[in-house]
Amino acid sequence: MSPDLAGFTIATATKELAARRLWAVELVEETLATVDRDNERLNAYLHVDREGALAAARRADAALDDGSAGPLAGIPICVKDVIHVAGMPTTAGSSGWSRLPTADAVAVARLREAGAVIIGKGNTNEFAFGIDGRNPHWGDCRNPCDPTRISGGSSAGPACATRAGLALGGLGTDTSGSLRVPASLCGLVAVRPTHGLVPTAGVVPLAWSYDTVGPLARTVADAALLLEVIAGPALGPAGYAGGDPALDLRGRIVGLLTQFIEAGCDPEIAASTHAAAALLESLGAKVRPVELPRLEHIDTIHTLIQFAEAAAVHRRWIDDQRPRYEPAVLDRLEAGAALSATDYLEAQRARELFRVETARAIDGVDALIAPATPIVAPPLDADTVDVDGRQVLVRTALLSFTLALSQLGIPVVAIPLGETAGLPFGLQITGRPGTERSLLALAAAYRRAAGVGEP
Amino acid sequence: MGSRHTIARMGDADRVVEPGPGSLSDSGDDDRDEHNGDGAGARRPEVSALVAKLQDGVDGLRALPLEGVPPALGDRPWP
Repeated sequence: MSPDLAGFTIATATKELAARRLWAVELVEETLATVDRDNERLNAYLHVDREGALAAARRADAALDDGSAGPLAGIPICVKDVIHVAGMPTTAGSSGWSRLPTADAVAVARLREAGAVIIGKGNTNEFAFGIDGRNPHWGDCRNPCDPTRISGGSSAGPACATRAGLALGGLGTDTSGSLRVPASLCGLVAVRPTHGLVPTAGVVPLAWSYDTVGPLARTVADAALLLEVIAGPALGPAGYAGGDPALDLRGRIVGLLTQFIEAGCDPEIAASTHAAAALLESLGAKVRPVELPRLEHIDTIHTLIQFAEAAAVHRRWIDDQRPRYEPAVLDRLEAGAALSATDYLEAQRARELFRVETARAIDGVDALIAPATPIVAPPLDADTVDVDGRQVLVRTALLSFTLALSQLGIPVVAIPLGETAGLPFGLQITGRPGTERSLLALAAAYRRAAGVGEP
Repeated sequence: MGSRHTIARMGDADRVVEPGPGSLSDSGDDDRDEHNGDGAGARRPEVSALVAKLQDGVDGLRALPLEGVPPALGDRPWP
């Protein structure tokens, strides 16, 4: 048979593979055929390992035959090109910096141990230091919903591949919003895990105190399964792990981050966020508005910390490689290098104040919801975008709802919320550290009740 | 399709691979001067503007009630 990847999820594929109605080799061959057909147009992959993928698929089939298969046996995955996969080049989306790792990143090793098939390395903004998925060296990643528009980034390739059938799931990173933004613009589920839950060993750093590794998937159940694998035992045994979510949300208190909506948001996205809150209420949850403190300082805090940490990461090679950097990235790195240690520490102190005051503000709340982006995917050549009547830089607009949550080290699940003119937009669901399972359960319940996408 | 990159010998984890097609260095335009390539020259205007904006932001942070607040470094339990 020739599987129809457009309609497949990881859950349906694993069921078909386990029943031996589908062979992993067939699934991977079909995925590679889709890559052959569409990658030139979409620019999702920077590197494809055809032979390695087929060999892994054959091993998965053997394991499925003898009963030793892991939970992701035969599942095609796209890995962002800042994450090491042994035997494949890591370019971090740059033109002159490349490594040939001999060992997998921890998250990749866990995926492979579970039987996943790594198809190749996904496109990314240079050194993950961007949010739009554009790449001047290897070509811009394009949005599968409208290839004249950006995919969002920096986990652009894994998002594009997962949405377009060039993989069934993706592995990416999120420092400022790099999983949640492409998930929003491409209509996918993403999980930014609690900071430190998924090891970042084997990942090219952007800014250590924000960097996380997480999954991209077509459904909440798929994202839960991928997270289960890459987080390992640290995720904890109890709670939602895919399958049927509880639809009775009585006793749950959900905070609606109204400031984000009021600060400037496409009216359709604002209306859909309020509709999502109403749907959660109809399932029994109590929804109340919640305000976060000090939001006016978040951009400064984040920029100071991110630029300074990124400058420290790049210090070893920037002088030799300066002409090869994308100019905007070079500007940020040089600005970061010009900051003082006391500037950095002032920002980290302000971040801690924000964290303490936020914990107080959300005391008693089980989860918070907010839009993931205030806009849908802008055209590839847009520098600015209209946000509720104001012209705003694309980068500023795309980061405006994700930056504050990135300060807190807390988990965030992004899910598709709706579409306008065929272009998707997403919802963020967040809560206290370590509550991934509970947030995924809430996300699955919402998706099931909304009748969109969850089995 | 195959790799777009020049693939060096496998098993050499930290070796820098030559840039592939489409790289800035392949264009023939060495814009080292434009990018202040010696690494020690005057700061470019774009960078100066960014730094000035950040310094303004730091001034704003100093007005926050930070007395007794340690930097958010390392793992600290959720308050």
